[in-house]
Amino acid sequence: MRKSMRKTVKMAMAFAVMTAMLTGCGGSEKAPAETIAGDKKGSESVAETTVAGKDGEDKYYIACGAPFTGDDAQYGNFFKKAIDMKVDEINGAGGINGKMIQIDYLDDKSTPKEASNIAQMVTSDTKYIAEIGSYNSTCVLAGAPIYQEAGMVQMAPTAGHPDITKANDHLFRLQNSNDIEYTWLASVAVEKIGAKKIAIVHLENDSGIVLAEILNKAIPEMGSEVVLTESYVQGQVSDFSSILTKLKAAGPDLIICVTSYNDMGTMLQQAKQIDLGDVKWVSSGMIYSDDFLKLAGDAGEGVYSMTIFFADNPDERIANFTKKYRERYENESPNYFVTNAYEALSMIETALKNGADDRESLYQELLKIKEWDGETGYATFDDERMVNRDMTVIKVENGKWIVAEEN
Amino acid sequence: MEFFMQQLINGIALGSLYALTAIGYSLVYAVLELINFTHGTMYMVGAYLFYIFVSLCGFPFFPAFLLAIFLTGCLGYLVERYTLRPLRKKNLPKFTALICTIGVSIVIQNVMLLFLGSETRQYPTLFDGKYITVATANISYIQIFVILMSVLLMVALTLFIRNSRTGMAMRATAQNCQATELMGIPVDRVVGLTFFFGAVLAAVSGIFACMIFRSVNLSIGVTTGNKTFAATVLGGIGELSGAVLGGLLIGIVETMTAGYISYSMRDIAAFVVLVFVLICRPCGLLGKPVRKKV
Repeated sequence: MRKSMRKTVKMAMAFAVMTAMLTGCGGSEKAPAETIAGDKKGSESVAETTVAGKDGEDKYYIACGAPFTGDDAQYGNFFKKAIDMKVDEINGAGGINGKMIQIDYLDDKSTPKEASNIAQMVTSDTKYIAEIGSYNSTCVLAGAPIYQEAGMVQMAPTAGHPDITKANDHLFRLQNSNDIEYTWLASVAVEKIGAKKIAIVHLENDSGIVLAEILNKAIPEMGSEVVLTESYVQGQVSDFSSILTKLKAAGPDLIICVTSYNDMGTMLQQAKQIDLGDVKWVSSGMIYSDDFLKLAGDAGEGVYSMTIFFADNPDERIANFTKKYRERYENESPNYFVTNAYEALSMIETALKNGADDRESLYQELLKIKEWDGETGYATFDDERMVNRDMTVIKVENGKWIVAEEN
Repeated sequence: MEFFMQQLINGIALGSLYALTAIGYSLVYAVLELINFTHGTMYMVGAYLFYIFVSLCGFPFFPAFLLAIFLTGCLGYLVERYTLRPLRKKNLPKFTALICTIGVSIVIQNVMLLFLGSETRQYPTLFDGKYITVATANISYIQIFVILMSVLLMVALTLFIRNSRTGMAMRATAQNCQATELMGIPVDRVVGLTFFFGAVLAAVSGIFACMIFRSVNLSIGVTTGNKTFAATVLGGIGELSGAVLGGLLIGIVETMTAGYISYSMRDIAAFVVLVFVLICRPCGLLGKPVRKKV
């Protein structure tokens, strides 16, 4: 009896340890903010910077909070590549008003907890004039009230949740709001591709739930039927067999699947074993990357995606941007994670050139930007600081992304 | 019915993978009474080594497979030899060793991250996309292959432990470590071998799992590690047949929940079953309560 009790206690403790391990491993790459942030001298010279805050310092400090480790590390690294490129361009041309730009990269591991820690750290350090990040809505929302309180500009390059600009009136978004994007997704599926029976697969998170709501409303209005809505928790499993079995039973002619490219690629590969028949797959811009093509291989053929930026667009400025990026990063194609982070910093650059010099004046200058004709495309901003950009339907053909004929 | 059959097959395929991983956990626990948290990491390392040999170095499947599981086995042995054995020699409580295995697995994961990066990669597989249709349910070749291999390995392992000299030495060590030592059996070597076999099993299931799932990334060990640990406890830790039963049960419960209730509920269901069984049978389904005579 005693032994069995001891055993139970042991189990309980083992579980406690396991949970610790889980969290520990999610962020096992214990690379907290400090180690990633290249410039350590900042924290030593806080006093100095505050004194010199007005005009004595020779650099503009901007923080970039994004995932650099963990499941979403690739997205943070797209940000970093884009921003590094822009920083080199600005500093190479002598900086802005004689001052150089310095970006500190802070790893939020795509967790809201880390994102709010970063927000605390960045807002309390007066040397930072703005923040770029994070990559998803959940992390942006976690930091938003903190930046709001500090009156600091937060640039959200790729977060799509409709409410993020309500959470912080100093927040500028460069990604179309989910309701614009998802309604558009529904119209592509129903009106452009002509699907009658549609199944929806989404992630069980903030934007995933919004997606399901919008699609379930928009698709019936457009005259087609939603035959199945299914969600899953990201990172829990890589076995999609039972979700695929459900899809097969529902018999859709088109599946709208909005998830990360690695889950999408894995799912498509597994779908080959279950044979869904003649079915089309449509996803959001999240899967538009070269890595998706590598991962999905032959199973990726014919998959539709959509994007506000298409790398092989013949437009001259976009072609130049693509060329510049490919030359720098071993022929990798830029995607909207890259372009939006790039434009976020470009907008800050413009605002600084127009006379902004601290957190408040930067905000005021950014507010004046209503039309933005960037290197990667044209955009407008509404009074809610939300962007509105055109999108292009793209698809995979012969292992390459091309502009789809359904545009 | 058709839907049920298909989900059942999915569940059995997933469950047999869990079972295969779980017997490794159970093996080490039976011999040392130690919960070996490096197991999930070995699962990931094995899967990655196979990926490296096949996809990056272009080796044929079979030699790559043998090399990958052998190297993972060696890693398992080294972990025991250089981190756990010194602790055992000092007669430190079991918890020290347990924490140590957690530390080691975090180190290994981070080293892998440094060299390989965090992205998900496409995994090489056998019988790409081929399946047979039995009464309207599709069973892929790879699922059949994995289920057969799992059964084969489990039988072989049971026979090995029951009949071979090394197996006997393992059982003796499990019963009483000191007495075994006094009988002239090299306990250190037996424990080392146990870790070797444990890691080999982890590697085999890691490779099979990735072949079915078609992708590999660095976090596969963590989720599977938790799930199979639950399977081991569910079946009765230290019992090989219990590990198999627990693995199958968790696999099927998970898949059925995903199929009939909601995909997002699958992990909840798996762990609810675990908690429920532990409340009714604290030693697990097949675990035997051991009475300590003082």
